[in-house]
Amino acid sequence: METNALRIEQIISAVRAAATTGGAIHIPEQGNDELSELVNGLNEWFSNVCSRIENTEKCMDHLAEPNACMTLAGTTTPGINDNKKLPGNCDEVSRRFQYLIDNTSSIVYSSVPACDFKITYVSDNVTRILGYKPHEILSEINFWFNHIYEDDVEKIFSTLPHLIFNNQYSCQQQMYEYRFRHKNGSYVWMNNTLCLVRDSEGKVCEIIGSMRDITQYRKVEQELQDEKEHKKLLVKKLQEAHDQLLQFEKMASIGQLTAGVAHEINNPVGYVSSNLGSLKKYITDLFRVIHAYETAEKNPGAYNENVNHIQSIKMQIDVEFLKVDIDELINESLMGVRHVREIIQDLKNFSHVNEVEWQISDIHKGLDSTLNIAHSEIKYKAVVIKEYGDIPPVECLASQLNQVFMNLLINAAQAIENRGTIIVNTGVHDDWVWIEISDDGKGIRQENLSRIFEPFFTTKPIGEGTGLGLSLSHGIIKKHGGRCEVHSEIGKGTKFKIWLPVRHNHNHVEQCENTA
Amino acid sequence: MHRIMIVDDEINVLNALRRMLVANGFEAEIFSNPGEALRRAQTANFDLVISDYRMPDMDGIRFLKEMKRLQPDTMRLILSGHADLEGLIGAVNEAEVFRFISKPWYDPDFIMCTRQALEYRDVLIENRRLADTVRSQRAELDLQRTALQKLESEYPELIKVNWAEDGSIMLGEDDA
Repeated sequence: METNALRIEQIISAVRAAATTGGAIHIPEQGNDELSELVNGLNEWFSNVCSRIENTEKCMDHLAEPNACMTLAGTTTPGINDNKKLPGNCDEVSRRFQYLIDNTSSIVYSSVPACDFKITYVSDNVTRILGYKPHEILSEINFWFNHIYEDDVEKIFSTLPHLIFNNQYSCQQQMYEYRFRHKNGSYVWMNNTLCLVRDSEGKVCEIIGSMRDITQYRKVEQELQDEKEHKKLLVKKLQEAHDQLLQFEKMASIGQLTAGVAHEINNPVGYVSSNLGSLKKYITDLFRVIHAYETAEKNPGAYNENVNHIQSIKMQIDVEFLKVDIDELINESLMGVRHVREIIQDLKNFSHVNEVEWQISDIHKGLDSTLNIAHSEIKYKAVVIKEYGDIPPVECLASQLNQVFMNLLINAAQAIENRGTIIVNTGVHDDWVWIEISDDGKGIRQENLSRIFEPFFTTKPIGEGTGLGLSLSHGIIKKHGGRCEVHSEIGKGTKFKIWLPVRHNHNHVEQCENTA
Repeated sequence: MHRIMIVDDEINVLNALRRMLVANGFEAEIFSNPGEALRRAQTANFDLVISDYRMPDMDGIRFLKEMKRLQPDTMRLILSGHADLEGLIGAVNEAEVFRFISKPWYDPDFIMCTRQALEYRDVLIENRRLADTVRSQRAELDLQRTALQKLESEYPELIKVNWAEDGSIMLGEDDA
């Protein structure tokens, strides 16, 4: 046992000596037991390590020679450069290294952090990627700077010097994408990832990095971008088309009403102008009386004669009748003019084209104005009963809601075959107001009920409906964050109930628009 | 004086038309309800009826058709601001209106139209009256001729006259 302990001590001191000197060790062999085997193993391992260290040192020496980079750069494939005198294993490592660099897609380079950024090393594959021979690049001081696409220079030089000369700057890596001139004159998109190597004082001593051809990637990106733009354009067009459709439908419903509204305006215009004609005649008659009085003034002597003359004229023209009728005539005419003014005001209220502002608005006012416009269309078909509840003002797009009411009212009137009743109810429930328009017309068939909000779906004869009314109404109600309920029974009538939130949630609209 | 009936659902239109027609020497009765107008037509005669086209309860075509049945000689005019094709066809083919006047109307045109309608009616009626006269006179003539022929057959030569050269009538045996 003592001998063993002694041997172990010897081994330990020998290993320690080897570790401090860095030289080989030799441990004497003293037998054929496990300890001897351990000593043999250690000896073998040490000799192995020593030879490796030697090889590495040779390699380092070689790389340190001034032309080493050139030699490395000049190598393309290991086979061709067999004549290169790299010692032993180092030669193999280096060739392998060279082989890898030359066949990757990235150009590896190094540069000095001076203003001209002279390239001090560039890998051979630069010829394949950019067409230049490495020596062309290395020989020109401003090569890199001179070959960057003019417009891209600024984005690099606005940050790079700052990065280099600010020691505190924590970022050691930076990526640039720019166009670089190929030898054939065309420009290649490059991705340049550079790394700043700093000395112990934090000063940048070298810039190393890799450059990758991303032209294809940029092209795809550009295509994607173009496609995105195109899609944006399409969405815009779609939006425009939708707006146009909305406008078209509005115009169509106005067109439908024009006949009725014209009728409403024709009547007052007819009687007011006719009344003016009658008034002219009445006044001519009255002037005759005045003329008779004037004659009497000039000839006061012939009193009886004058009185007779005046009285005969008065009888002829029936002054008593004129007194009454002129008063009536003027009142009726004023009424007519007022009626025309109201119709035009209602039309204006109804058809505000550019009104897209959200506003706090009285739903009843909108309903009344719409009812007035549609009056001529409805009055031959139905009696309208208004049962308005006490509802708060609602934040809404008033003119668009009017269009919804108009659609529902016209539909109700058209559903009535002979004569019927249309009931307009309103009410409030929590934060919601509701508007209900019901008719006692022919009703909607069950199979059509699910399709009534589809665009272009209509059961009306050609020329009477666009098939867009309810579809757009539904869109408008959705835009308000509201909903629409329909109940219909064949032969009994149809009931539309619109629910609208009192306060509009603007996020909701954006969501709707985004998903649209 | 010609009697005119006006039917429209707008009272102000009625008043204005009546004013104008009365001032032009017509007698006018106004009705804002077609049913009421028809009831009146059962007891009173009118020379001309002017009706609106679009009215609640009964449209102008139906009203004028009914009017035509009651008083076939009454001239019919439609005064309307609303003139769809269907309405026009109905007015011409069914109600056989004389004119379709559109609203807003122009007074002188309206009066001219009214006059033309009434003149036309007068001519028609005069024509019929003359035709009746001709017919009745022809019947009378026919009667006389028959009587004459009867006499002739009973008494031959009765109506035959022998004139002498000097213009005298010769009586007696036919020996000349």
